Amino acid sequence: MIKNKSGFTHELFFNVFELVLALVVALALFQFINNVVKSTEFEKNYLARDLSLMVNTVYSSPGDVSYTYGENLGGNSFSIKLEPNSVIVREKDSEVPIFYNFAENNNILFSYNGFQTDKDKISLMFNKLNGQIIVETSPSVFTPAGGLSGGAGRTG
Amino acid sequence: MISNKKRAGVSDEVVFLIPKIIFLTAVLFAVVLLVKIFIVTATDVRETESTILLNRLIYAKDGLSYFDSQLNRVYPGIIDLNRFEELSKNNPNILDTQSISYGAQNQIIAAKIILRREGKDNIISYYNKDKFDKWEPRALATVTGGSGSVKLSYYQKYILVYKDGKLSPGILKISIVS
Repeated sequence: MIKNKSGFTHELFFNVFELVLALVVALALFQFINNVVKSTEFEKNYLARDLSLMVNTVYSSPGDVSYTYGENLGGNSFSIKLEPNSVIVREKDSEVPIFYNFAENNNILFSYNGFQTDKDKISLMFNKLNGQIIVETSPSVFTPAGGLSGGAGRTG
Repeated sequence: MISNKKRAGVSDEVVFLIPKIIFLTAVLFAVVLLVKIFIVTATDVRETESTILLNRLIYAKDGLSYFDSQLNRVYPGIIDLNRFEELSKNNPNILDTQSISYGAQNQIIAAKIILRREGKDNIISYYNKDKFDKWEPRALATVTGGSGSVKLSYYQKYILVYKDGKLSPGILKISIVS
């Protein structure tokens, strides 16, 4: 009887241990998935690439051009910096930034600038006038619904 | 005796637990790996980048098109033969370092531009020649580290060639590696 009781205790202990182990693993997995869902890596990559392509496109125009760039950020706010040959996007100052390169024309002046986007949306005005490219925040812009998809804006 | 049997029973249970723990760890890593594989964090913009470079070469002021400095106007699609020849022979890096400059090291994109005219020799010019020579073979599936590591796009544009006030038809064949 004592033997049986002891065996039962051990079996129970190992079963409980297995359950706890499975629970710990499940929690770790949920935590990992949660981190992946909350991550804004894709949004930052998208913005860096899209803005770099935008700058390249503005450089491509044969004459003067004015373009209002608008994008829905899906509730996130980012810090954007235009530096020589690169667009740098980060969410917090402490984190490693995401950047993407663009090609400059040394005969056209480019105003390097920094922006903090609003929560939800970004609206920037790209102006190429008199041999100079200026990027500045735009007060009003059409922003598409449904998050980062396809870019949007209007030509001026 | 009972105590020894009990100990043996416990150690057996622990030994049987080891494969279970190993299996659980393997499952954990497999799930993490699968999630990492299927989550896309960056979009492939190489095709778009190639198209923009092509447009920049043909339409922008300091590209290949003829620029009238008196009118301050670019003639998109009309290639300035003097400039093209200069790019081809005398100053092959002017596009990389001046007009379409990604900085000291361009690890993004490179191009080979061939100007074909009827009854004339082809003129070849490069954008980022060093990298083009290095990357072009890697576009082939048969080369180690090739097929997919770089993307090779071909474009053909029917253009007009401008020289000494005269226009003649030509074809611009552009291979862009990104």
